[in-house]
Amino acid sequence: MSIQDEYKDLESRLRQSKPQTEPLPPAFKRQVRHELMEQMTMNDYRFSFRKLSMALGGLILLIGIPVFFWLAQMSIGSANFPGTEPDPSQLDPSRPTPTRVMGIVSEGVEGSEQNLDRFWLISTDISQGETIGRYGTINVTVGYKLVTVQEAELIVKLVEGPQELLSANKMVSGAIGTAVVSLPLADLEEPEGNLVTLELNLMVENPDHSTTKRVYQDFGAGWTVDLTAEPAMTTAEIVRISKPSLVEIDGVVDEFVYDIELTIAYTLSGYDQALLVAGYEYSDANGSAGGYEVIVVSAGSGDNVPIRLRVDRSFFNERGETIEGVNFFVRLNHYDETAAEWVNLYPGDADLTDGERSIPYPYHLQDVFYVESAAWGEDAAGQPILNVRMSYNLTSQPTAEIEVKVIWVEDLVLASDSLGVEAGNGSLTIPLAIDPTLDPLFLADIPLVMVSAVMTVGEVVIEDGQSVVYQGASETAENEIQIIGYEVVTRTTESGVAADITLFVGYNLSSDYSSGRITFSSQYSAATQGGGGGSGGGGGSEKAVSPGSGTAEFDFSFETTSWAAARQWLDSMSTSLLLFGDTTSGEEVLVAEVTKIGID
Amino acid sequence: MENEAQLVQRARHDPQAFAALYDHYVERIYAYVQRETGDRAVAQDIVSATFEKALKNLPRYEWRGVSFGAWLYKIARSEIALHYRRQKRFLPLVGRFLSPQRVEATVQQWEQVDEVQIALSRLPERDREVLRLSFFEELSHEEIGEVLNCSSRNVAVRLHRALKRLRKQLAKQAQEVVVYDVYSR
Repeated sequence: MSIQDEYKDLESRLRQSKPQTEPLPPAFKRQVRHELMEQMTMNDYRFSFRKLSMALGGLILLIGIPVFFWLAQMSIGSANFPGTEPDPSQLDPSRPTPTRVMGIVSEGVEGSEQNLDRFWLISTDISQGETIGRYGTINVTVGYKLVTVQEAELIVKLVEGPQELLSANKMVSGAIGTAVVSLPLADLEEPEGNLVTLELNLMVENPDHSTTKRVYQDFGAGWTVDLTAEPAMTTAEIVRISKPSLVEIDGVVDEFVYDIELTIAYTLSGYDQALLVAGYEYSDANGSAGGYEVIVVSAGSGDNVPIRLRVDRSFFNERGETIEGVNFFVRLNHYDETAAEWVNLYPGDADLTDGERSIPYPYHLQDVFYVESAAWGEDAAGQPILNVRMSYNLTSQPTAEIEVKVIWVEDLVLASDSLGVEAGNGSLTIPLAIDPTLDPLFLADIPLVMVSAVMTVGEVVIEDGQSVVYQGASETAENEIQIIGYEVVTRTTESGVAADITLFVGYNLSSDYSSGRITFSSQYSAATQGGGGGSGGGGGSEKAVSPGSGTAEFDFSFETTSWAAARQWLDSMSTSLLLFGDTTSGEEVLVAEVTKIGID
Repeated sequence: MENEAQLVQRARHDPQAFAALYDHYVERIYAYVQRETGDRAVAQDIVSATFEKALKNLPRYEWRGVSFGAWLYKIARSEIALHYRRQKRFLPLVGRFLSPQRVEATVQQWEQVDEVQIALSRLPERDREVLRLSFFEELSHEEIGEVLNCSSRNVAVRLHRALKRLRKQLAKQAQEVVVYDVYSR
């Protein structure tokens, strides 16, 4: 049976093996149809309502603006409209009330500027007066209003009496706003004694020091830090959420799914490893949905751990913002071997999902690494560059090494680079400049290169690769045929080794011919390592081609006793390619041929 | 059916036109999802979500000379992937929509298990998918290109390579002693 017949037979078998399916239940079909129609009608209604709302809005603006200005005229003389400046004591009735407020004090500020720049404590995530663990974090939310400066530095300090124990700062800008400042107690300077009471100071300072202006407020109650508490404290927070981008898998864009990267900061102490879970949740009246990814983190801390999530596009609006009801979260879970279950370390009281509970332990998620794409480009000097895009998901170790090479024939490395990556999932593009001393004609002659990428994770090596045809290669001349490259994959068999070879053949058949074909044959003849001779047919096949230029691939395999013998056979292999064309009179003529000895 | 491009254009505002598209494609999409998931209840959910999403995204849809059905396949494919992401959230999600285990489990449900199906289940998902779209769903190269977001020429190359690997796999299977052992796992 010829190869063509074999493929036809295979295609026919594939069609026959099509799995049978049940028809859609009519009731369900009708129900979905009905719901869709209803939804469409509703959308129309919404559209009309929106138009009506817009029209009404316009009318309100038309009437409202003059009234507003009239009211503004009436209130001239007042420094502020009521409500533009939140009164610190009115902002949040549930916030802890400071037991001792020293008030706003200005230093070096004269006259009317006094008290114009203001700030106020909105809340702290741990109520004042509580005892907190030695490794806890206090998150302080502060409101501010800047009048005399555009920008200021907000400094939050923890003090014990006159001694400053810890401080954190944040630049704030804009007329009015809020800022959250975190005080990780792990950074606390070691105070004496087991118990210590802290105070909170807030300061706003003009950043350019052009005027010495400092206001501060002292909220006295503070907290008690229990220094004897177990240092088994973990924290995790999302410090950044990237803008969504459409998902691309193997160079294919999926327009219904977004990629979003969460950057996580965490602290883990008291445990060797934990599972960092980052994801999103959505719920509305119809139910809930969500998704998450996990990575293993080790004891210590990290402030820039990326976790990439795939989120359905329907959870975003047209502007790429998440719709109402979508929340991102981060958790740290640990496996309690005694109880044989996963427990939540941070925030400490989270309900684990069924998925999280069923994660097998010892937890091992296979690290993933692959080459997404390799595309040719040029650097500023016009030298060829190969941009290699790779993706990884590193979970089993905190770091790994990635090495990527561009290999030409004879394992000649044209370019290489390496870099380290940290745990998490992500992708990176490495531009590899091809050795400028290499004559580009070489690449034009044999324009196939192999990208070989390796990620080394501890003792484990994950490899991937891709073949790329050099685009700057010379076109095959009309009525010519040439070998433009090959791939050889060797593997061990029961009796020795086998080589699977793919030849890439460029051809160009002129329009003088109505159709054509390429025949390929190969023969090898070599002495084997053991001294015996070896010879025979390496393979043979043919392909139909149409007028024009193109690339054809031919595959064949052979088996032999050893690697050395395989190498000898490859060296002695004689490959013959013939390009035939069919003339308009129906005659087949030999148009071009190429013979090559050796696989190099 | 009137010219499909016109019908799609009309369906943006006319529920009856959208209903006609629904009636025309719903069974095919259901069969596709059923084949992909092997679960009728899941397939019903996914079909419902597919058409809902199609309705929602219809204003963004651009007619590119390829059937509207190809776009529906594309949405359904995305919904299937999303379904499995939700189910197996802690598995790597990149390009591995269908794990070999799941394919084997799906295959198990098929009444007629033959060696082609076994060979298919052992191919990389990338190959399986292009073969299924071509030979089970009977989509043209252009339609597959729309579903997979690649050119029809690229589809031809992928299809050729997938067939080649399938042929190799079948040859390898023929030498295996216990072929059906895979189903007892």
